[in-house]
Amino acid sequence: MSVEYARLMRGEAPFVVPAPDELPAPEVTADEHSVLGVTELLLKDPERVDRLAREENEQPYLIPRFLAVGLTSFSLFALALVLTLGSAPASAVPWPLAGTWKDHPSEAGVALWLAYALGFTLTTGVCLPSFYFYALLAGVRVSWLQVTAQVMRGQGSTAIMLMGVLPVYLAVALGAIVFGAPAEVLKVVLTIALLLPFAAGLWGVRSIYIGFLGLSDTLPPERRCQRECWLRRLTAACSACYTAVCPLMIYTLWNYFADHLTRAGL
Amino acid sequence: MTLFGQTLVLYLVIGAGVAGAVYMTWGSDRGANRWFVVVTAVVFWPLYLPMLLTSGGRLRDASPITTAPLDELTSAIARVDSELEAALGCLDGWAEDVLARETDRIRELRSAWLAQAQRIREMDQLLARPEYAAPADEPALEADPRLRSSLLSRRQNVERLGRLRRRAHDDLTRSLAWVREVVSMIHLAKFSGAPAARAEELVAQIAAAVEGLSELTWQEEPPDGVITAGPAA
Repeated sequence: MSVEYARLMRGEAPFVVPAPDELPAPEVTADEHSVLGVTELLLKDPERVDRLAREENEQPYLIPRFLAVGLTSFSLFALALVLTLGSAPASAVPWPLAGTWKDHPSEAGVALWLAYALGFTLTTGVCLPSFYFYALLAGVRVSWLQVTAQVMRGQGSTAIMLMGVLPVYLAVALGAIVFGAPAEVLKVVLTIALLLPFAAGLWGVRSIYIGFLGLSDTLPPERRCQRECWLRRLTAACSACYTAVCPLMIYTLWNYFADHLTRAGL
Repeated sequence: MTLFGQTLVLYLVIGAGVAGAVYMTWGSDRGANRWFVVVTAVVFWPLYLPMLLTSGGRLRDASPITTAPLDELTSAIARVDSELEAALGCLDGWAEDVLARETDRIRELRSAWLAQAQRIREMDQLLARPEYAAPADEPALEADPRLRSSLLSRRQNVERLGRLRRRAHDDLTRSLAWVREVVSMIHLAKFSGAPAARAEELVAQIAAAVEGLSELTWQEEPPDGVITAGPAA
């Protein structure tokens, strides 16, 4: 240190000092009042997002921000998926899309975008009453708005995870297409693309699970232990229900939009 | 029209109704956010319905305490703040006039606590940096008198910074303790049948605590480094 100090005083550049481990972690200064700020918080300080999602006055403003994060992420994913499918040979397009994609690729692409962008959020709408009633059944003191905020927070986490996984997947998929992998291999790679949001969705389900378990502090202390176990099971059941409804919703929407857009002739 | 199509029309009609309600509730000062919310409410109205039902048509701003970093200081402020809220809540019908008058100053007090806590956090971060954390490791035997004097002066400044941090912390703690004390006096006054003038006096004392904290911002450090009395003194 003395050599470094003397160098500094002589106007010479100091040696680089390694940062000690005990330095406090820099505080995340993201503004939670903007969509970008919420995205940053979801990445860097999820505990703060949890606290915000429990703040009654903040919930009405957080829900549209989570929604914006989700819609943007799923739209970008759908765009990447459509471009990947478009650059792959027609024989490699996986089963649910193969027929429509072959004859009407533009309509199928738009339908795919609408199905993924809307499907996740509409599933949230379908599953909300279940989450609310299950939470009440477990004895947690929670409002419908709070349940909505928690579930949307889960969707935000899914969106962030999806954006994290997407570049890795794109590198693999484009590599398989460019280097001319066999059609069977390409089909598997492209089928994985369709399932990617559901894999990322497990991260969102985990967030919802943790968020609901955090609500157990509203239970009376003498019953908390017993009720917490019950709440854990109900939350797991409801998360499983959400995971099952989501693919069904996306498939239904895809069919509906593809059918109507094809008939209308986009 | 198929059953799915009929259901879709019904869904969108409800969505339009919810979007209209959201438009009226959201407030005009939120610009593009408002339009995003209104448009998405048509399609995703199940997400907005709880908002309309829970807020009772009124959206309020978030508490600044929730948005502050979670640490001991924030927890202490949140605890005192909730006690204060509870005490002021029980003034209904007893000393409403003074409460209405002092609401802004009490809000200022909360902001002053949070600002002070933030200042302490920043000083902590600065003092934890390696160049400030271990000044004793620096050369004490430099031959150059100019170097030695500069080093001494730097050490003194770091020590003063440390004292300033301790003082800020003590002042914040004292202010919180003082408000808790007054809160207990409010409860006591209410249940011992004290006149409304007594409640007014106590609320005014709480509101005055903000001055004690804000005075510290540019207060010079005393020469002997003795910690000055806080708002309670």
